[in-house]
Amino acid sequence: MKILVCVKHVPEVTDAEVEIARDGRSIDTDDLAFDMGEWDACAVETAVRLKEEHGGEVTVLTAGDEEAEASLRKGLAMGADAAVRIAVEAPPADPALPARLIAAFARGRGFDLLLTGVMASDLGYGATGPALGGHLDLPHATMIVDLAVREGAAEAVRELEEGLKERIAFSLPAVLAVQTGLAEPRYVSVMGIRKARRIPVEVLEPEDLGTEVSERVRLVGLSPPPPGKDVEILEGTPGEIGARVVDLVREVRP
Amino acid sequence: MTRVLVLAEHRRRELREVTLEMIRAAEAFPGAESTVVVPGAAAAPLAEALAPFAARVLLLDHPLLDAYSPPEYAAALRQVVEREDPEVVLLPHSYRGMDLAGRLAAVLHRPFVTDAVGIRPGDGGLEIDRQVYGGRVHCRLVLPPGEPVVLSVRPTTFPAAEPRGSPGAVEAFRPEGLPEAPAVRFLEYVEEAAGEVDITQAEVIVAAGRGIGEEENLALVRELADALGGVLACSRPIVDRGWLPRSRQVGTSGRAVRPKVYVAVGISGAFQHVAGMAGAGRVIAINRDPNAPIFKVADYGVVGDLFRVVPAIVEAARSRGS
Ligand SMILES: Cc1cc2nc3c(=O)[nH]c(=O)nc-3n(C[C@H](O)[C@H](O)[C@H](O)COP(=O)(O)OP(=O)(O)OC[C@H]3O[C@@H](n4cnc5c(N)ncnc54)[C@H](O)[C@@H]3O)c2cc1C
Repeated sequence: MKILVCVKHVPEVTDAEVEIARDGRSIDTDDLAFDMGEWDACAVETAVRLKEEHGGEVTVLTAGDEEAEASLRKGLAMGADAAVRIAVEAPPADPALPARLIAAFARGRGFDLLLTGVMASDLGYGATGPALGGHLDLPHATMIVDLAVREGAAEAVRELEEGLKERIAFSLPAVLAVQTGLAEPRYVSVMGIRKARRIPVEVLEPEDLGTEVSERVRLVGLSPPPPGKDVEILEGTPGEIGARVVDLVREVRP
Repeated sequence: MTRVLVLAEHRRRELREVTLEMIRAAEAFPGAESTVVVPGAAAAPLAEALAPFAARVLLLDHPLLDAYSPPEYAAALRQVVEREDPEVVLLPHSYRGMDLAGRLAAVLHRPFVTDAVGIRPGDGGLEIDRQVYGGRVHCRLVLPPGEPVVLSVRPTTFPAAEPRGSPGAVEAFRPEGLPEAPAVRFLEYVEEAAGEVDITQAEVIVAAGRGIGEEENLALVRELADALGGVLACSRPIVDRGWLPRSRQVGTSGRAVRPKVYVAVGISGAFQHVAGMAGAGRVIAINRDPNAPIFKVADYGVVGDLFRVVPAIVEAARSRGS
């Protein structure tokens, strides 16, 4: 089975200081750690497990800048066999662009399964998988939390709102967007990292794929989020804060 | 005048509330002339039910569209778009909308934006507000002026539409050339097994997030729940790792809860989580990151290390008796 996994190299923003850069159009990434997206890591894990089960070959792909190759290296260390980077300055504001580039690469290469994460934590459009399905005219499904592949077909469970799920069936090739929880990503081993180092990353320019970088959605600017509720931050010693929280709970539910 | 096509959403023969929100969202466009598109032959009663809320309702009268399959939905909607020539195709950023928006835009060759939380039509193009980087940054985008677009809007951004003075016309359209069988075949719904506790009934909820770090630290949060007479719940990563069952998860893919008090411990406040606790009375958040989005929806906050704060609350609760 030939599997393509599309990943994005994203900054880890939880618990970090996210500052808007002077240009007002990007964030300051100097002090941020980057990693493969959380959902994408589940997609890579899923692909590698399918390969272990059915045999085949896994290619990890990113549309990004040179730094993004770190996430490709991680994919290789997790067990992917090949890595491709489509060279673009990350991250484009237009949600249509990544899928268009990936489709230009994937067309005619005989992938049985094309995986993405449900979304990336930076811009969170959640659109690359579905758009890829549209460009390649393949069936697609998102929010996949269970997957069983057999001879040219697959059955999957996709999550819906409020704890409901649905079981679906489709033939391959297909595009799937993987939800967290489908496969807990493995830790990469030292051996995996060493092996990954020997595999070259193939770098392709959009022009090599007969396409170009053009964006129809334009970024106007970034700003701090609008104020939310008027939160009262509790101050004091741990003992004082503890007592205050207990009071706040017991006031409304004695 | 702006022609807006609003995609209705239904499940198990019931309309989803987001449909009315999208009808309302369409009113953000100057001189909006909305047509609500209701897919599926079996949805005829739902099309009728929508008539009081919209100027025009268009039933996609084809049995293949009774169950959702993205390629056929996109193909059918393309025919509608060719016929109606709308400037805006509007759908909710629900699970269904997330699944469809990107594909629809690709098939229509139209620019698109998903998960909008603000819409400002203008001469320079349609301006869209979005939340990026996990809600830590506000982003303004502009779609090209004069070009028809596809747009999905985050649920609960707009209130539900109210019934209009006179009900709208209901028409039917039968898409042509759809295949015999859908490319993505719906087999069955899978219900979540009922949990050992029903968190939707709890008056006090103490919820643990990824900030607890390790499974063994769940005990600390459980202790807090006990000390406050509450029920233990959690965010999604705790369930994905198998530390708690799905029935304890709060959020869009978990449960929607309405306790009198909600204590969030080490939860950042992603919108998919917050959507599930919107009905909570008093929200108290404990997080070491003062910029965590959870503080935007909290009434009270403790900025600090949960491993210090939580034991202090437990201690206070115990020393005061219950
Ligand atoms: C389609 C879809 C559906 C989803 N449905 C849900 C859902 O139903 N429910 C849900 O919860 N999520 C859902 N998610 C996931 C959601 O996007 C977030 O990834 C998730 O809510 C993050 O969980 P968290 O806040 O616990 O973790 P994180 O975002 O990692 O936050 C952890 C927080 O803990 C804080 N912290 C760390 N250490 C400490 C410490 N020692 N003391 C104090 N604070 C600390 C950090 O500052 C951070 O704010 C969904 C996502 C998608 C795409």
